[in-house]
Amino acid sequence: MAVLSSGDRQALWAEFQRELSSNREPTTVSKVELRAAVDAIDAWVDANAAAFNAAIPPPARAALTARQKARLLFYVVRRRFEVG
Amino acid sequence: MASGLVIAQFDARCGTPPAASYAGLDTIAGGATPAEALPVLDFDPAASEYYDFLVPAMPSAYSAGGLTLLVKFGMSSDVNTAHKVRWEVGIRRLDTAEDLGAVHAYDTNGVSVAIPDDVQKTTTGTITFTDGADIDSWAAGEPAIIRIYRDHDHVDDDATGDAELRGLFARET
Repeated sequence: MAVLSSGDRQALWAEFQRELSSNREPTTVSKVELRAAVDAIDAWVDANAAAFNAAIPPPARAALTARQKARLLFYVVRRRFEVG
Repeated sequence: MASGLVIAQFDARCGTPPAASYAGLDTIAGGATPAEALPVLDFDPAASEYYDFLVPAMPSAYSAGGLTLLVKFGMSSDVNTAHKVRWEVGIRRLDTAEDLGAVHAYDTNGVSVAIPDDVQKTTTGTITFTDGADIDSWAAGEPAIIRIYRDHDHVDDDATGDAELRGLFARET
């Protein structure tokens, strides 16, 4: 899978700001800086996709779909920051 | 009567949304007991959103001094005072000759305003209009629409998250 399209990154960037606003969550980053972070994170995920996949032990590596693996990564990362 | 004449004042509930691309009506809670519920209009950071305020009549005492419009707003998330929001305001005169159904392009004046350092605080942007064409030749006794929008992709508009419009105040300059 390639990096997200500009349109997808834009939508993600807008959605993240909506969530910040809904939660009235203080931030000091500008819109441009936030977008740069989105782009960099997406690029990093793309660059490390193979390593991420290799880190999943069999049989899960073969049994889970790519979408399921991505969702599982999301769950793990989110939980880390909830309990951390 | 000239400078300082109050022409109109609105809170977020007084306006009407246009047919598309409009800011959302919301409330923010105060810290009193019981908590206040302050009405605000949320202007998106990623798309330009609009809201309209009808002034039923320019006061008869208006003496062609132009307008000063105060935009009262806060932020829902960003607290970096180095960041700004770009507000644009235009006026559409509704005199007897105006065809409301005709195509109309609002000619706007704008201001880039530094945001407050806390999501609970309010700051003010000031936009001035000269008499005549700058206010669509709006004259005493006539109604008009004041349209405001956040120019989200203006070079100055870098504040993250919603800008919350809390009030508008218009007086003769």
